[in-house]
Amino acid sequence: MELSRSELITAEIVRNYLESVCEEMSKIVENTAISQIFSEAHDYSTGIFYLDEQGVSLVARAQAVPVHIFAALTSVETVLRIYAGDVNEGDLFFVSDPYYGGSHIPDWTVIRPVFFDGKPRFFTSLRGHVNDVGGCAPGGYNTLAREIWHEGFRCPPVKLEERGERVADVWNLILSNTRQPDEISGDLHAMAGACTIGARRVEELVAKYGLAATTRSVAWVLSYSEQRLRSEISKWPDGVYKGSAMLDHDFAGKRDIGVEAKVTVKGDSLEIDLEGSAPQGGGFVNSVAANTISNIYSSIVSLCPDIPVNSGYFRPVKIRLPEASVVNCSPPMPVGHSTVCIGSDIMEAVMKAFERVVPERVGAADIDLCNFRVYGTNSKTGDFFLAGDLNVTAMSAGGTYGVDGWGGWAAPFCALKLPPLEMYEWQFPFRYIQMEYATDTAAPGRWRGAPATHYRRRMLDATHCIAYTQGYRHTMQGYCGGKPGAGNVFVVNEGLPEEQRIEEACYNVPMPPGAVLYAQSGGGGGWGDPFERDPEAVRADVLDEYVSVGGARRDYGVVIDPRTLEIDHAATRKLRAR
Amino acid sequence: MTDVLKAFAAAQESYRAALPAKWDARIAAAAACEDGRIAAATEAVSAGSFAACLRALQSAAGECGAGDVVITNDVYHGSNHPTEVTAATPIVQGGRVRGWAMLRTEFADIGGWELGAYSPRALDIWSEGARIVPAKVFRNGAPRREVLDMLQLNSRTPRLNLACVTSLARTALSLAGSLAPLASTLGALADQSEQRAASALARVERGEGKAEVPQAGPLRLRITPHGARLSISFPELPAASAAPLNATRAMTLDSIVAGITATLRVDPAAAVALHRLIDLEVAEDRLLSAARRRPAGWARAITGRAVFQATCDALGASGDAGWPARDPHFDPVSGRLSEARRSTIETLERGM
Repeated sequence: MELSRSELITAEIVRNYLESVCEEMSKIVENTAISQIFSEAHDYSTGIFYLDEQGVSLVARAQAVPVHIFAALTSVETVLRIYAGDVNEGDLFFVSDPYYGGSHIPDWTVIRPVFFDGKPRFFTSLRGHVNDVGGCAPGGYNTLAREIWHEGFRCPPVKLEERGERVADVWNLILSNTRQPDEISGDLHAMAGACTIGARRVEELVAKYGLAATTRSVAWVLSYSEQRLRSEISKWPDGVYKGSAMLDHDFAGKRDIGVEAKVTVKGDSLEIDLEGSAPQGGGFVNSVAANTISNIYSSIVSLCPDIPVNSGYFRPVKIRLPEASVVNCSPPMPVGHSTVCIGSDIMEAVMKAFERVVPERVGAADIDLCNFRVYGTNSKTGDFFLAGDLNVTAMSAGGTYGVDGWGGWAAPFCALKLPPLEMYEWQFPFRYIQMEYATDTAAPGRWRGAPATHYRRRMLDATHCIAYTQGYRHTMQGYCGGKPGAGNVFVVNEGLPEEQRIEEACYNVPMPPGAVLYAQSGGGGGWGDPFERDPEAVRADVLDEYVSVGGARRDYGVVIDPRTLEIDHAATRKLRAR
Repeated sequence: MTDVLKAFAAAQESYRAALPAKWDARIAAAAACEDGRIAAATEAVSAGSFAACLRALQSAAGECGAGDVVITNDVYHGSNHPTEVTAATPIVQGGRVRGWAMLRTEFADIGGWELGAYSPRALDIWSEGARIVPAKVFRNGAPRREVLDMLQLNSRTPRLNLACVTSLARTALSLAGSLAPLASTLGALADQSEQRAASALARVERGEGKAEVPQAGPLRLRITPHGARLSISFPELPAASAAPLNATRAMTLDSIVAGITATLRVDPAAAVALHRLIDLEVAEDRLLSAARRRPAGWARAITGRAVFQATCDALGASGDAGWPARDPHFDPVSGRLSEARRSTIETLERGM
């Protein structure tokens, strides 16, 4: 589409304005939500959607968790379908069910339509992960789930507010189906408040520039992203490329759950086909289409991070998902863990497929989650408590071209924060004993992955634990010759007679006061041949104790004098020449 | 009273007629006065839990007017089991709420671990199924999408649930219409019931009874008359259980009333008021006074029965005669819904 110079400037202002509105919405939640999963960990995402004759489009989003907000597009579409003819000014919608455009039940989505000329033209939306959703397992991760009803309270699209009036019994229904209604009520209010402020900002934008100029700008923004990605793709070699990834197990006795990705690059378009992925079934690793598509989009976004992310970005991408598969499941399959496991493997398979297309842009997009929920009575308060801990999950990113893996989440999750351990200790009956990098666990590569972390936490009160892990056998892959990351290790009640090394999961295991949880949280893979790594960088890693002298020799072909810690360049050249 | 009972019978027939013939679920009816007292009920021994539901429905569902139907299945709002659903709708005359028409039925399923909400794996009340805390299922005579959708989505039997709740709400509205001309008599009916209940209790002497709650332990129940009222205490009472055996005060009261009614052969018109004359002395969060988190799926079938037996024992009777078994399809061996019932439900759901 053709815009005049001044219109182009307006369009850029509109784009940046809408993205800043999303950031403001994020800040509102950070500052007003109660649960630390919102206020500290930032496990939520904001977005603004636009409706025209072509359908619903994501126009802007905050730098949050992309798998949230891409799937939220489906939630907006679902609300419009279910409430066709009954979307009114002052309505506020809510949905959490995976089979209604959600991802997993704990991801709650709130949507506020913004009306102009009597029609809903924009939607502000926030998707956030709440701490509990009722169901059979505190915390929403039921390792024994075999059907969706085992996972929590399913909420179809409903109105939380109707024409500006709160629908009190619906709020109560939703909150009564959580084990922490008081805290989560605060979180839900924060979500609703953010959407309301966001809607007000959109109204202010339209008041300033007019509806016609705003919508023209939005159309251009979408078109711009589309054209930018098409331009990139057209530089990529045409062909069919394949990648795969493997989940250790499905939590129901079946091992090696595969995801197959076939990427076809043709001209300025992409087709991504996940045919050949494992059939649906078993435990809670099945992914609904919206979650799968969201994870695919997250991979693609990682390839071209300088293009504004919106629905225009995805117009050149056609996706095919096999029916009744682990990447496109149907009710009543359980899906609780799918946002990461299998979601992360979907990203990994797609990323691997791109390894031969744009090698310098690929890198670990995935995380192999080991995590847990503990719950019980907090002796400090006398109240029920329920806590996970993002610090125990894979927080060590893989290497990418030009950059070593960093101590934090992989790119698609990197807006998640690792809450300070002191906050956990203050809120919950825990004491942290250890939280540090482990030597010789970083995935070797020209750019290595971050080392794995060793984590030990002591329980001060009697609690129960639900723990679940992946990445024990199939660790995170390396790229372009980089080695895979270290695997996960998870031990409950370490050192006690009841000690359990968790290879899959445990459910409702008692942990007495003083009991210790231990985890090795494996890191992402390396990028490139480790023998091409700058020897000085290897030495720096030895000095930092990321790599031992023996590891430097074995994994990188760098010979370091253990006494002086200086590089023996001659021996290194000789070793690397083999 | 005769006219009220006729209205109840018509409502029960109408409810059943709207559902598949093989769905033989219970349907109970009650009428309450404006002040919330139960004036008449087809299951007089459940009047206490009907009243508890009504209190919750009145306080939580906001303003209720003609055409509104409020429901709950929540054990901590007066229900006896997660699949037991109670509906209430106001009886409106001259624009004023003059009383309440109530119906109670069983759903086939409400999610959670197991079909039918009997689950040995239940950790707490949330793991037994969706908690439908008071919510308007009909507003101004029209079904509300939000609540109906939730009821369907949180069930393995969405079609059967939809048929049940729709029929329940429509029948409640119809019952309210039938009771409207009788609304002015409900207060007098409640007064009469209370007088007759008081004279029935005048025959009760101080006594103590015992029973065993399987998987929980022995309980002893003491009855102490205080004028026209009874005080019920528990010299021996198991702690709240990790198993789904935990009864609420309303459930416990129903079982005690059932024991008194069966032993003293109290007529239904009096039995409906018995719960108002009983003072339950039980500490918080014990097996018979569970706090909000406890799983309760077996409580009606197992714990309630033990309370009934202890009550009968305290009154000098023994055995189960008169036990109003509400859980005919509970398999005590597996702790789950019986296989036969499971099969019936699945067949019915498929056929709808």
